Amino acid sequence: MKAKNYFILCTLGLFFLMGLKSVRCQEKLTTDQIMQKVDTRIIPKDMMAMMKMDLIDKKGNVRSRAMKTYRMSDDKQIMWFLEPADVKGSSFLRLSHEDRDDDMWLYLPAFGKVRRIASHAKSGNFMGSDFTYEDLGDRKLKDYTYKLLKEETIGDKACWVIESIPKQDVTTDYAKIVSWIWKDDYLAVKEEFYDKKGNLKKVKSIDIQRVDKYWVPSKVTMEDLKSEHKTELLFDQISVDTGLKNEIFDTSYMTRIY
Amino acid sequence: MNTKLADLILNHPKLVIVISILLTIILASGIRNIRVEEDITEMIPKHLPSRQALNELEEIFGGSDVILVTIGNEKETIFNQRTLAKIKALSDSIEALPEINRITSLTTTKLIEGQEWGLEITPFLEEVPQTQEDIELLKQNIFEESTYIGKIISADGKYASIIASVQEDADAFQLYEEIKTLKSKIESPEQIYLTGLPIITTIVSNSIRTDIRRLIPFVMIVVIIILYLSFRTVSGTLLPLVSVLMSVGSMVGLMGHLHKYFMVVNNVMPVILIAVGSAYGIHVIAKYYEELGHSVHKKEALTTTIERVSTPVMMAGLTTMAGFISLITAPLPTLVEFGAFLAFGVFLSLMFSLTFIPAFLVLLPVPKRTVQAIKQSFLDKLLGNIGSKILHYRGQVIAIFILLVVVFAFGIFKVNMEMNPITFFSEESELRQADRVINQHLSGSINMNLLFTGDIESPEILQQMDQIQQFLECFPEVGSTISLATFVKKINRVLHNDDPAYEVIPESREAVAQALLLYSMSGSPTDFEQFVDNSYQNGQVIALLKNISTQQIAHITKETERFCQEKLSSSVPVKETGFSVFLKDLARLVITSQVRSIIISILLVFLIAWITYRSFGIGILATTPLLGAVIINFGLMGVVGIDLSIPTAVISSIIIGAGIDYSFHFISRYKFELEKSDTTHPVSRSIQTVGKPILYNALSVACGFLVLLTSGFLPIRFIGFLVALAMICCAIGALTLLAAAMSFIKK
Repeated sequence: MKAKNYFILCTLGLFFLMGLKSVRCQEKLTTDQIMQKVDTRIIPKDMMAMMKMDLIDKKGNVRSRAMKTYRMSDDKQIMWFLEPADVKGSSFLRLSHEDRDDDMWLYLPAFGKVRRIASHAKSGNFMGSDFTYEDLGDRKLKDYTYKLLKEETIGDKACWVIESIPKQDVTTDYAKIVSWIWKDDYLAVKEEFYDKKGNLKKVKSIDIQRVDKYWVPSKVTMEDLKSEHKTELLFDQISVDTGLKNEIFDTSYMTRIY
Repeated sequence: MNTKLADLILNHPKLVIVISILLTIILASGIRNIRVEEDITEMIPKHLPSRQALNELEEIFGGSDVILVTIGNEKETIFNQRTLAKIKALSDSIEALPEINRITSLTTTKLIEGQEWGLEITPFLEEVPQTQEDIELLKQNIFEESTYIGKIISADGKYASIIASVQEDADAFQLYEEIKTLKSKIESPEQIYLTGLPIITTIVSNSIRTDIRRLIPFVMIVVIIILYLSFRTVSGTLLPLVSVLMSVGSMVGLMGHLHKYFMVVNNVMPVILIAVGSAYGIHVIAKYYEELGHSVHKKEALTTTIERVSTPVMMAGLTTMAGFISLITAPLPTLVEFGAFLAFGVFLSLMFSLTFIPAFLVLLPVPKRTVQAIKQSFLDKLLGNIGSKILHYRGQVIAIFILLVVVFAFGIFKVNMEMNPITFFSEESELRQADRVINQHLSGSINMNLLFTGDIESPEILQQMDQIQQFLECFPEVGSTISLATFVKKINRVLHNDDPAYEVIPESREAVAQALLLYSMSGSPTDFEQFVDNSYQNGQVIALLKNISTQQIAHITKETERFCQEKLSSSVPVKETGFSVFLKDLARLVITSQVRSIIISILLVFLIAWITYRSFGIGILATTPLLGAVIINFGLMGVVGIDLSIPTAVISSIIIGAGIDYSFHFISRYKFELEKSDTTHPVSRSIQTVGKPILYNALSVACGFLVLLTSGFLPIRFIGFLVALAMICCAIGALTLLAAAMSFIKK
């Protein structure tokens, strides 16, 4: 499998999952080996879910959107907006590419046409949320150097705490990312993002659930510590490996109401 | 009564001293509680609708304080790699400051661009362009987006601004220091200008502190010199000074006990009290030295002194208090405190002069050298001359006075109202320079906020926002306006192949919501934070006004209010607030307060005169010169171009309260001289005897006020200048006009 997404960057529709059978290694792994395993975890071939995106401002006011999302492997995704009522029927399609910027389209029924949206800015925010496109994925295993800081238990999960520092000439918003990797399944359950001045900028936390043989996120929270704004993604009615067809990830499917 | 008082003080001097000192210690212990008020909006009464609307606005959108950092220079545009790199670096550093919520700058504002294939939303200056071509492209992009011209980039491209929104609980002092450090690191050849309320606030409160530290010692030195020149004795110099300092300590201490603050204007209360209050001690000492010449016994001399001097000193004190008390009807808390505490301070310094000073004098030996034999000086000759000629020319004197008043009365119409705290500083100050650059090249720095409540995503409300923005932009003084409607229109246009005909609010609610959804696909979650709250129930239009006169601002604000009432649907509540509205409200309050305090102080002073002399006519005569002095004062302000502002609103109260003393002196003497039979006219005799003390007194009070000329605040300098001038005018007026008028009164 391609060396991509060395660990789960769950967000919106990223249903990262884990290899079902937890690899309980007898021998002691090196940090790089841990990250290797995170990167090559087995994920569902496809996935369907209802997703709720809550944008929460610093006073706790919530703005919600609900959508139905379909996803294939890690690089194709289509979603239809269900709520609020005035955006119902709008849809979004995203195709990731290994070697160039993602392709993204938006369909707005009130305006008729399917529009392409530019995405070359990695630091751009995804759908007005606290997740940037960079947070959504595409971090390559070889772009970072890793260091095991300590081992720590979060909730009931024993984790490795691993620091990732981008190598020179890697374009990124962050100077450092610290990840808590659940030992049982090589899955990140919390991440801290540090800006170039060394300040902790954002914190991501992931609640997971078991669907079939995979571990998938049930709730992903990203909090911006500076603006005190946060985004929660809640996943529900998840089904995996349903045999989605490739052709639904196409602009011609966007105008259909699901 | 005066004799009893004298006996009481002179028989128990130590008790009097101990009580005075104890009282001072108790009151002055509050000094440690006194703070400098840093927030100038605290000057604005809390019940004012615009202030309440601002609180509401801040509740919804967070603190509305912004710092404006403007970078650029006259010689070239910002479109070169060096300047762009500096803008990028400065923006990033400011954004990273812990006190800053968010910034609006070329690095953060987004270009909404329609492409053949769709739509692109990217910050203008995400990376510093490396080639000339890229720089040209950036320039082209920026100027295509008219929303931001004047706001973050000047139309001539010479200046760029970073608008930094400050967190509500931020330490403005620290923030100012941090930004100054950033500024010094990258300044030149580009200039960097700082302004915005948090900066103004910091500079104001720094200046308040500097003023307090500088002016109080200075006025003490001036008073010491005056006292020494008058009496040439140590006790004669120190006693009035100590007694007035005791009252200053007690006054400030009481303010501290009551948790009051020093602001602009009331930071000079100690200076004013020293200038006004030292006169009472001078009276007492002068009379004592005079009596020492007549009697051998110290105690006898003191008894006579107290008997003779207590009534005039109390009268002088009471009228001065009346002037200050007139301010407690003012609708501005600063002015109320200024008036109330100074009245209290005057009362104390009056009491200390009549009790503490004589008690101390009893205990001290008689000074070896008192005032030398009076020499016939130039002044005496002049006064003698005036005394003999005044009767002859009395009609002319009165006519000249009336003419003067009439001429200056026209100046009153030219008086300019100015409430903007930036005018506290001189034209050369950094703040004013920054303000000029922003006025000339950018939209301005005075905000007007219109708060809309309702379904902000509905086309109706957005259309109303748009209407009001179009209305506001018709004023040349309105630099720019922005709201959620601005973005909705722009996206709608982009969605219709950039056709300008579609730069309107779409007709359906769905279209609005979907246009915003499109924006949010690339925007950040806080992009609209300042325009609409998360529930989309409250939205605001922000307009930036150039820094023009308060009157112009008041005009625009009133017109906007009218437009909202007449043209907008009444189902959408709109509230107006922001700094511009404050300025308008303040202007109204200051005028009301000014008119009220003049009427009240004149009435009070007239009543005191009427009761004292038991003559309605004398009451009128005593107050007429003051009314003239007040008219001349405002006329002069109009002619010279001194603004009526919160600080200068106290001038008339000081003039009326302190200026009446000279009328009283003269009238008392005149009544005394009337009893005597002499060949010369009592008016001439009064001028000759009382003329010198009146002029000396006026000069010493004037010198005390002239110290204010060294203040860091322009209006305070004006107070110093105008009150000093008025004191001398009142003294001269009492010796000429009043004298001439009194001569008409039969026995």
